[in-house]
Formats: sequence, structure tokens, C-alpha cells
Amino acid sequence: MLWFLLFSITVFIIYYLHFAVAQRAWRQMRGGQSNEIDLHYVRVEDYFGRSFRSKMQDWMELPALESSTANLREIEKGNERLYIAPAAAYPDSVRESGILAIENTFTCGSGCRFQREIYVRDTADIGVNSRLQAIAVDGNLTLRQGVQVVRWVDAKGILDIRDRCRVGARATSATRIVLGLDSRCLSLFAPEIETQGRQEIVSSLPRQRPGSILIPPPENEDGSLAEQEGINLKRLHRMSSDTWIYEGDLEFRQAVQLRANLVVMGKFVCGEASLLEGDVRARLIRVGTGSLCKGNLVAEGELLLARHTTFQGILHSGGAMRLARGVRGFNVSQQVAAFAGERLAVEPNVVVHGKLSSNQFVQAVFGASK
Amino acid sequence: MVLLIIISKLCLYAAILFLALYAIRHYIFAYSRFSLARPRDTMDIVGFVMPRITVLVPMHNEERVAADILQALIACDYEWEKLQIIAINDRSRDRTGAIIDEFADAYPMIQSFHRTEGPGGKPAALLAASEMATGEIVLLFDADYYPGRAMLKMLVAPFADPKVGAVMGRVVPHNVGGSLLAGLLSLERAAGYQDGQQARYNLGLTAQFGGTVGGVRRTALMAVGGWNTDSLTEDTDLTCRLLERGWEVAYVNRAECYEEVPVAWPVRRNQLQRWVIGHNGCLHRYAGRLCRSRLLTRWQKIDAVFMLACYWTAPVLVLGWLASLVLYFAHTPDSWGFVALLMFLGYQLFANQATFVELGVAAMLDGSSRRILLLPLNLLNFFSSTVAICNALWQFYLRRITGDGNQEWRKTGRTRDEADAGQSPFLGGGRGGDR
Repeated sequence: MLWFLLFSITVFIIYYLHFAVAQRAWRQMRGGQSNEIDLHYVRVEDYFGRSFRSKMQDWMELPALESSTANLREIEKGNERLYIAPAAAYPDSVRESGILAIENTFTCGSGCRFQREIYVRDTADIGVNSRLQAIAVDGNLTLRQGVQVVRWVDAKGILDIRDRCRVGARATSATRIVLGLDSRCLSLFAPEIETQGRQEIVSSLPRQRPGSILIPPPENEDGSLAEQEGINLKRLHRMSSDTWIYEGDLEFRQAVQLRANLVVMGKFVCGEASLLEGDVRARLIRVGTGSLCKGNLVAEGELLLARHTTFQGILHSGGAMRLARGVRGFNVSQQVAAFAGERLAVEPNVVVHGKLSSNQFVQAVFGASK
Repeated sequence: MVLLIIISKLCLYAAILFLALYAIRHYIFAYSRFSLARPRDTMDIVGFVMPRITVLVPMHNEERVAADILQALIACDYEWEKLQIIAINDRSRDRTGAIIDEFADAYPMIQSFHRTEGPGGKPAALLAASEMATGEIVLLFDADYYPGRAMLKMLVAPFADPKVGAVMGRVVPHNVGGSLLAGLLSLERAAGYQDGQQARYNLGLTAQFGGTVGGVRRTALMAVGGWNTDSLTEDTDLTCRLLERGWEVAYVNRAECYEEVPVAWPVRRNQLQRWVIGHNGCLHRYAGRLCRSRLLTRWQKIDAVFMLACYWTAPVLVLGWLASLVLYFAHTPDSWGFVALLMFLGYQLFANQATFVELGVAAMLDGSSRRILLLPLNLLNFFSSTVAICNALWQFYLRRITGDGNQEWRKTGRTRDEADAGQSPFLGGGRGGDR
């Protein structure tokens, strides 16, 4: 009997606590309103640079500490210490722990360590193998070989990222970014992004070849689709007035002229000088040399653009992506973007007007592929 | 007596099997959602996909909220030259029409569409207004929703993929403190979107278009026959037809939009009954067709059937309870282990679609540490939903048997205060939220 009573009381207490906690939580929530969404959020690619500059403008107007000199103003804001100098030229291997605001140019030697953000109103030149937290520059910014930026980097002028640099988050510029060999960033955004070895291309835009595979195939007089080599018409279905779906792989060595949107349930491979006027979605996409992609390319896995291909829309891959030598990405009406779920490898002489980003990293690599 | 026991045992085992399959499905979702470092999304290309779009806002007696939604859409950071907003005055008897006209006069991208005749209901209004749409993409917002500034760009981004026929954003209740029911529904919504929809999208299964805070590709909409005015859940109906034809529904978890959830139990019951009847109609119309489609994978077919049959969990559970009672009074102790299993599985189904563990996972992902404490009280929502779902299914089959196929489209009641009319409660942030 005693055990039964104890058991009953224990069960009752457990149940009571179960609901009492819930009831208490509800009493605290009652009458409140959800505050979870930032309704004013808009996606701005150079947000970090803008936000930091805005904060710095406010902070720089705060009164300086007594320890300040003519060449170095010190400002304290909470636990932060801000140093403002007209110009700065750090020698090699310096360590700096405060936030820096430089009114003119900023240079540092090799192997320096800056543990907090830096703001430069003119140009900046970061020495070899230095390590920064983040930097916003109103002029041009050069990151020399082996520089590591833990977070973001933003420049209003040209952002020159030399070989073997690492940027942990976004690299943005309002003018141009030059990405050196073996350098890695999570994402890059600028009106123009280029890799080393840029050469103006003698126009290699595709000429419409007489032997091109037409997708969808032209219609016969009776309304049926004409036979095309490499396409099993039984597997080709119309999804809508402008979109077709193909069950299986579509692999062509010759040029393809795609005249509608196409969903391929397998691989999509097209030959040299193809003209893709519509969007393509496939498990894997490989576009041949010198092709022109007017639409978007979306691959569940790998996506490869061969040499001298031009894209004018979005490239999106769930797997790795490779932009071979001479690839161009631009559109007169709006910026373009390439995103890879895994590594986005960019060979030399690639120019993209817009954005390159990856879940892993964007890396400038040697041009090995043909 | 022996026959009754045998039937009861069969019912019990069938219920356990059915519910166990659902429980497994939702555990997979919860695990997948929790284990994936970065969910599948298109946030990296937001702002780079800017087709011409049409936003449809159907309104029936919405004078309290009409100005809010139109103001919010105008404030979005989408280029006005590429934006067409069609504000639909669907036979309103209040000032909705006048408010719409005021906006249409003031802003060139807003067009008013006054509907004075024809069948009632949202699908009929959408069907009529769609003829005016000129955008490549048609987005939809109910009048009581409040989109943020980046909403349109975020919803449009997935359409870079030619396979995407429709897109769905996430709805977040703003009136979580309005009543206990609203608080519980916020948990359920979080599980349905943050966990269920995102997991299904991650796994390449069948994310669902929800008819608001979402959009559809206009050519895809036309190809599958437009809006089905006979369906009480035109969104699920459209989802099924899109899937059958090989289209994909994308989900954008970051495209969050405030909605008003029911604060009163009768309103919730009506809403749920409409969903159940519409959903079940889709189950009958499309389950077979989806299973036969050559354009869906095996797992997509299975998930689609699970999605359409989700409301069957309630009557199956009730059946299992009844069978348990029979077996208890018939003194068949060999079945008690199964009864305990049924109790456990029933405990998983704490809401109409989300399992207990999903509610918890979603609350954790959202960082709503305080709201997670409400979980035990969700028992109330569970019992209420179970009754409402069983009742709705009973009505559905009764009408099929009697041949009375007409279902009336009943609008969900709003509770936003009249004093708030035209003055959004969202502007300037929330009031004493729970985070």
C-alpha cells in the first residue's frame, strides 16, 4: 500500500510539473507578439562593409581620450578601443589588438597580425602572410601573397587578392576584384571579377552550325517531332509551352541549339559552340567549348563550363563547379551569379560581372581542363 | 466475441503499422533537418533573378488589413517596372474596394480587380484575376499576411531552376500571445515549415505549395489547367498536378511572412475541417495518378501519398483506441504490449501533421527556448484536432455517399482589431515578443 501511494504521488508530481512548467511559460507569453522576423531585411552583398563603415562614422565622432596625440586619437566605446591615425605604415610582424581607422593610406609589412577590424579612407596594402580580422577600404586594396582574412573584406576601389590568400567570408568591391592563383574566398561580389591572366578574347561566340542538334526538335508537317540523333522522342515530354522534360541522359558531342527550357532527369552534355537559349536543369551539366548560355544552368551535382564559354544567367550547382579558361559571365541588363554547393574552381582568364559563391569556397586554380 | 477480438487485434496492428510509418517518416525529417549543416536554399542568388512578376492579393471583406498588405508590397525592394500587383476585391461588402482603388490611383503597378459575380471562394477569385496577370511568375499573398521588404526577391530566386513550378515561403504567426491556441499553433507552424517543408525539400521529396506566401510559374499553371475552383484546398490540388507533370515545388525557409492564426477554437476547427476535406479530396483524385507518374522517383511517390493521407492519422488512431478498449475488457493481456506501442505512437502525433519530436526540433532551430515549454499543453490541440479531423472526414464520405458534392468555401475569421485598420502592428517591430 505504501509503495502504491509513493508511486501515485511520484506520478502525480511528474505530471503536475509537466504541465505547471508549460502553464508558467504560457502565462509569460500571453498577450505578447512574435518578434522573430526582421521585416526590414534586404539582401545587400556588401552589407558587412557598409554596416562597419556606418558604425565607424558614429564612433569617430566620439570624444578622444586624454592619452591621444596629434597623430593618434584614441576612443573608447564600451570594451572596444578605437585608434584613429592620419596614415599608418606598420613594419613587419606587428601585432595590433584595437580597431583601426586610418584617414589616408595604410600599409603593413609581412607577417602582421590585426585582431580587430580596420577601416581605411584611402588605399591599403597588406603585407605578405599577414592576418586580419576584417577590412573596409574606401580606395584600392591589395592583399599580398598568403594574406588571411578571418571574416570579410570590402573595397570601394579595386580589390587585388594576390596568390594563396584566404578570405573566410565575403570579398566585395564596388569596382573590380582580381583573384590570384590558389586564393580562396567564400564568395566574391563586384561589377567585375577576374582571375589572373586576363586576355581579351577574339570573339568565339557560337555560330549556328548547320549540324546542330535542335532541342526541342522541329515539328513535322503532321505536328509530330522530327527525329534527332541522340534523342529518344518517347522520353521527351512537354511540361508547358516553354519547358520540356527528358527522361534519361542527353549527351552530345556536337553542338546543341536549345530553344526552350529543358529539364533532364539524367546528365546533360553538349558539344563545342552550343547555343543554349533556354534554362537547363539536369543531374550533371557539361557545356562544350565556346558555347553561349543565355539561360540559367542548374545542376543537382557537378557543373562544368568549358573554355571560352559565355553565360548570361545564373549558374547553380549542388556539387562542384568549374569555370574553365576564358569563360565570361555577363548580361547587359543585370548582373550574373554562379553558386556551387561544393568547391567552385575558377581557372585563369575568367571574367564574371556579378557574384561567385560557394558553400565551401571559391578558388582560383590552374587551368588544367580543356 | 472471438470474432470481435480478432477484428480488434487486426485494427490495432493496422493502426500501429500505419502510425509507425508516419512516425518513422517524421523522425527522418527531424534527423535530416538537424544533421544537415546548411539546408538547401537559393539565398545566394537572391537579387540576381528578376523576372517580371505578378502578385495576386485576393480580398473578401478585408478593410481591416487591405492597406497593410498593399503598403508592404509597395515597400518591397523589387523593381517597380517588373512588378504588377493585382488587388482582387472579391464581392466585398465593406470598404475593401475603396481602399484598393485608392492604392491603384496612387501607384502605377497596382491594378484593382473588382469581382461582383461568379462562384465564391479564393480559387475562383484567383482564376478570374489570373487572366490579367502579365508576369512570368505569379505570387500570392492572403490579405492578412505581411511580407518583409526582401520577400519578393527571395520567393522569385528558385525560379532560376526551370524544373521549379511553384515556390513556398514560410509563414510565422505574429499573434502567438493572442490565446493559448495561437501559441500552440505557432509551434505547429514552426514544425510544419522549419522542419517538415525544409526537410522534404532537402531530401528531394515533395515540398508543398501552400496557396499564400508563395508563387507559381505562369506557364506551369496554365499547363496543368489553372486553379481548381472545385477544390477547398486549391494549393494542395495545384501541388499534385504540378508534381504529376514533373514540376518541383521549392521551399524558401528565409522567406518568412507574418500571418494571423486562429485564436478561437471554433475558428480553428472550421479552418482544419476545410483543409481536411480539401486534402482528402486531393488524396482521392491524385494519389493514383502520382503513383503512376513516370516523372517522380519512388520516394517522391511514397512521400506524396503520405502527404495526402496525413489527416488519416486521426481516425486511425481513434480506431486503435477503440480496439484497445475492446481488447482490455476482453482480457487479452497478450495485446497490451501493442496497446502501449499505440499509446507511444499516438503521443508522437501531437498535432495534425507534425510529430512531437518535430515540434521540439523546430522550436530549437528557431531558438524559441521558451515556447518549447508549451509542448505538454499541445495535448489540448491534439484532442481538438483529432475530433475536428474525424468529423471532417465523416462529412466528406457522407457527402460522397449521398452525392452532395458541393462544399462551401468558408473564409477563416480574422481577429485583428478594428483600431489597427490601416496601421500595421508590424511596423516598428513587435510588441513584447518571446525572444
